[in-house]
Amino acid sequence: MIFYRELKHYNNCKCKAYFSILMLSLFFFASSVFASAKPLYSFQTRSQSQQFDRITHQLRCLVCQNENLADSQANFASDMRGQIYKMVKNGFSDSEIKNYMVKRYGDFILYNPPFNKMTIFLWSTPILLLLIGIIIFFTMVYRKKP
Amino acid sequence: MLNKVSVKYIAPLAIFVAMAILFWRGLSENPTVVPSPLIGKPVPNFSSPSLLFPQKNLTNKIFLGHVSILNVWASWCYSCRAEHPVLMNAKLEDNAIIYGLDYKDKSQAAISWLKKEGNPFQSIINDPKGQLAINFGVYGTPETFLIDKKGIIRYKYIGPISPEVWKDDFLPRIKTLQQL
Repeated sequence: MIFYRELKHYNNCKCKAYFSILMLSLFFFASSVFASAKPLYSFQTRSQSQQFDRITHQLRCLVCQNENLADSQANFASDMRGQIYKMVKNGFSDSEIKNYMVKRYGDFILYNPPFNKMTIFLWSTPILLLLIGIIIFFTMVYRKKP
Repeated sequence: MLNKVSVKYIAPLAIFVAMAILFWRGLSENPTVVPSPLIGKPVPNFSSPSLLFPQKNLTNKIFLGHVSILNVWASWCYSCRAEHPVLMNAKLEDNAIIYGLDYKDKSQAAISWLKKEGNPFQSIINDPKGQLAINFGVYGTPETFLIDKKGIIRYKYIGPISPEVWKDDFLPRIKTLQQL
């Protein structure tokens, strides 16, 4: 409702000014969503920085278990980020760093579950159920009724 | 004897019973507990100073020759205070050999805490940066490991140990491992 009132008197200079201030402040408040309190890690090369981002997005925070290490604000996550930072700077590969974590914390620390014989049903069941559903659908629709 | 009609009636019931059992089992488990991949593996190598005697160096050799408990704790950890009487009792009543891992703590605060609450530990490994804890797969406090005479990790419990957990989960395992 307030916007309708603003729009009606938009031609008025004073209200135009107030309107602009309102929109600008809303924009700045909204963009503060992108600010974060995380310390910024500095890297020698761009590929190291990308590696750090990639790995921290692929590992799970074990305290806030629905978040990855990149986003979580938990102390555990910042400790892990520090460890990953050290390993990236020392030139470890993606798989070496992830294996290091899995060896200590188990498969659950991977944000995406691995594809192996333990998880084969986890990955394939949705597709299988969809296929079964499609098959049932077509057999029901095309069954000849007496 | 199992004709088509009775299968139609029994099948939904059987599926329901199967699902009910799955849910009963699944929902009674704590989903935030992360199972440790270190069970059955030797204690990670370490060499760290003792909290109370900083000139003294502690290594994984401290676990050899007896069944040990390693308790990861900190003076800032509220639940650790809750399980503390259980650890004191375990030492006094059951002669349990308990080592501590002081996790991301200030030494002075930890020492004062022990003076005030009592010290159930044979020795305490000082880990102010939490670096050693990462090798143990620690993600919160308190966490407690059961280690056999050869230094192999046999069991891990996440969360404060209640008297029931000590009696039902730890004591039987300790007794079994002592006889090996």
